[in-house]
Amino acid sequence: MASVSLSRVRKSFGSVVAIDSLDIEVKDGQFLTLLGPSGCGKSTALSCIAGLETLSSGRILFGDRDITALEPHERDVAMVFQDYALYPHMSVRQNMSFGLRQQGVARGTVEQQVAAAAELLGLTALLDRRPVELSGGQRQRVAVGRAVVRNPAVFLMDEPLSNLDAGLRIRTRTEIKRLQRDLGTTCIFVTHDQEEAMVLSDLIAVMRAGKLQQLGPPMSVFRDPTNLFVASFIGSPAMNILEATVELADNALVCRMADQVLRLPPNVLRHPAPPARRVLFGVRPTDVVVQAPGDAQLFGQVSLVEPVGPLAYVDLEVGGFPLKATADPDLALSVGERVAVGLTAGRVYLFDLESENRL
Amino acid sequence: MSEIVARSAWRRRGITGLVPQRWLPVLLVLPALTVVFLVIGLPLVYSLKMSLERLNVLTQRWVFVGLQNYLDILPSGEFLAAFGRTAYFAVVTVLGGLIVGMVMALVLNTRFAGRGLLRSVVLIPWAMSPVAVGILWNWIFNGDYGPLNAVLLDLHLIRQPVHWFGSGTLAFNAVALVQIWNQAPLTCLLLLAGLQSVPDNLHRAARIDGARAVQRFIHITVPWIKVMLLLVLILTTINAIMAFDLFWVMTRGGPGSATTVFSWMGYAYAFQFFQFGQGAAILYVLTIVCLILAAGYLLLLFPKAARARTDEESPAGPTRDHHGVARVTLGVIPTKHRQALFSPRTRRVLAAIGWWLLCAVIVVWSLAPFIWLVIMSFTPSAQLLRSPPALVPHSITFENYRSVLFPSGIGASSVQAKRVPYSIWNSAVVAFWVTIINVALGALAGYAYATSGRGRFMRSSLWALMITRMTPSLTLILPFFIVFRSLDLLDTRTALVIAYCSLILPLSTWIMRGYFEGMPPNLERAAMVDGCTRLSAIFKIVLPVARPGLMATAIFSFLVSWNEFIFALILTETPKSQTIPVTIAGFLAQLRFYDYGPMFAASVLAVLPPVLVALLFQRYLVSGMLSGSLKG
Repeated sequence: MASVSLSRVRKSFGSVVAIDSLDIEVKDGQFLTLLGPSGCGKSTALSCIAGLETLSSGRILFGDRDITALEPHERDVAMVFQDYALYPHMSVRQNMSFGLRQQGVARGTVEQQVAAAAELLGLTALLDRRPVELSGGQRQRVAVGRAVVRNPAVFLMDEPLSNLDAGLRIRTRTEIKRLQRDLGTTCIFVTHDQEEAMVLSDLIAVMRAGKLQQLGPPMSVFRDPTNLFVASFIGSPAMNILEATVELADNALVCRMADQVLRLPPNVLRHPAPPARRVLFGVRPTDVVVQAPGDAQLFGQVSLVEPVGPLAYVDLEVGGFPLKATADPDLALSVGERVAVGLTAGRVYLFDLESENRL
Repeated sequence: MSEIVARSAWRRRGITGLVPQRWLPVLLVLPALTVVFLVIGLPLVYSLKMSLERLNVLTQRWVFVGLQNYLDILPSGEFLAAFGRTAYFAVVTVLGGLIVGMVMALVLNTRFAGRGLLRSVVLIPWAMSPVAVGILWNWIFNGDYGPLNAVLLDLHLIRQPVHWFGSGTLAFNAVALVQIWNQAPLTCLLLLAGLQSVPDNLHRAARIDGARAVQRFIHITVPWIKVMLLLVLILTTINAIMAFDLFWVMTRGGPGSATTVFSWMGYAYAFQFFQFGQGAAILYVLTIVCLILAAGYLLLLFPKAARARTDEESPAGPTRDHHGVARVTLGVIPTKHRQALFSPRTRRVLAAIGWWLLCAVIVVWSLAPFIWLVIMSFTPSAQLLRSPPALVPHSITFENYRSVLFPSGIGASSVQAKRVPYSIWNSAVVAFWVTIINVALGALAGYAYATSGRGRFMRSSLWALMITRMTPSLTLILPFFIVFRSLDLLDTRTALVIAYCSLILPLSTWIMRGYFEGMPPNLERAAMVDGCTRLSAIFKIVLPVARPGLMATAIFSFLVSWNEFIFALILTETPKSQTIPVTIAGFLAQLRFYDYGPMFAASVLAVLPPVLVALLFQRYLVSGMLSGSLKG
């Protein structure tokens, strides 16, 4: 059990900087997700924490123990790999006990530990099989079992769910969360799937091009994104982003997009903005509802309707801009129809055109 | 619209329309199988028959003698001694080659600047023809004029020149060393292909599990490349048992009978004493030994076939009650800190130094003898024969090259030197046809085995093909010699082309099959949906995509055929059809001192094409090895 803290961690390969000045604190027992598109440095960060890569500069602490210079096996971590990396020539039992045997743990303890971990993950019946004799889901559980058996201070998971099919992925996701809660072990999880990150984490670290964009609990990252990247990466379907001009007038923020004018309460801005400027206007499809009152109204033409069951996504044409909105699926909308949509003012985000930071 | 329909109907009725689809694979493998049957199957049967007969010298008639040849030979001390020597030679060269090749492969498997260059350098000894290798090392070991003694004397490690080939033990081990030098790159190439297929994450997982480099090598690397190791063991063992060229060039079985191995004994009986029956019997025993060893390795490395049984994922996953509460408690495992002698930083520096030293040793080992050969080819003949020997020549000359390249120009060339240009031409012509035939037939058959190898006929014929690879080529020479003599094909390039197919076709089929197996099957289906027939899909889509595999096959065919010696030695008689290895060996047989310079020049010319090919295309070789062998 340990808290993990990365301070000013930097890793470069030659002239390519993979991670730049990464600062992250995770409390003991917390579940942290490193989230970002491929190539953002999240896996490299995980490898650095595991000790598989040496840092170019910076420090990593587990509790108050500086582990920056330690070998992977001295760090008391266990890792689950995307391709599971099960030793193909060893049985499940041998796979799970390999690490313990390498650490010189007594035979009896190894057996107890393996039995306990196998029980925990429902692997007892599979212990004498080889990886080739297992299905994808079973292999995934063995990989988790191999990590659990060490009872490490920190679990490291590198996209462990991405090789599973959709249904199994969601079930396994739940299992991993429950397992981590039960064991109370700190976990650092890497994924590019924002939904996975939202569901699993206590903390999400959104990364882009080697830099940390935002660190916070899932809902705060979702509701209060610091910049355009975080706002559009988190949430599905992605946030609508439109170019607009805003100015303060009559104690209201007047927002013009093409032929549409919106009057929003001025507290939409986090900081007082200079009058009349061009911005990027962001709103999530779930906060734009067809034929709902809302705090402000927009008018558009329906171009596509996608019912997904509990609700329907509606593609609108608003003054030449495309806008994705939601609607009651029972509403019989037809393509070409003109509709009014209601916005929730508190869920509108404005970003600087250049820096893309939240205003 | 109707035109399109008509055209596609016409297409469907193309060549493949004439034969039912299910016969297509058989049709594709038929040419390769026919050739293999004619050049390997029949000769094997024929030599079996010969081993049961004897030639009556007076009547020139073959007389059936049953097992008498075997009974005469098997219990004899001479036979047992040769058997022992062969076994010793095989053990030493297989183990030595494995160690050297493994070290090279491990170094080459790491990522560093100049890896491609080092990989090319490592291949040089293997690309050189064994005859040239033998001549080179013969000179290096030469007691009076050799550079080895020169170096050892200069370093004051020895007081007087050692006559390496004077003592049986020394001579035998010298040949073994040269065999290792020549063969280690092949081992390295195969192992490297295996190492490159080890997933990175396996090693990363093992590092987190606390396995050190050595433990990771034993627990992760070795099990993963087991198939490759098996292949290496079989190939190098067979190569060791069949080693002939080096003995012919370096020791000729002597001194006394100290280096008379099995293959030499068979050769001597058949072609020096002209006792074909006994010779065939000896070589047949050799064949059987090879097959037994191959089976033995198979059993050793794969004690039981893996039970491949994949259970379906139960839809509910693990039962619920495993998760309600953590009923089981996990003990806390203390992490073990190893006592390290040096700090991590020092350790890294030391490792780097050791690693670069290793690279340097590999470069010297692979390159120095080759460079020495080049130096000697520029040294005047008179200076080569100087005692005490010197490492650096006093002057260089182009006369050696002139005399072998332009024998009709100014200045005199010896009879042997005059033969060099034409023998290079012979080698080129033979290698060209062998490469064309084997790539074409191998690709067709390999494709059929890869895509429809499930039927009983296909499976058993593939096995038969592989078993023929285990037969020592020496066994085939006798029947070839006799058959070609009666067909009046002796001393023709055609004879060599036919004979070389027996060496190469099984291997080229195997490589191509591996390559095609790695190709996505939907590629061909897509082509067929787009309106290709199966056959035109092969030509338009499959073959272009398989170009790297074709390249690898072509390179192998070229190297083997260009460097081959013993078939050429026995099946040719005059410069009309002699290839370059035979011509170089001819220099050695004549032993004229003024011809040493031209001999080395001819050797350089002989090794240059294969070395260049290996250097330029080494990337294809590794990928060819990988695809061709791992899927065994």
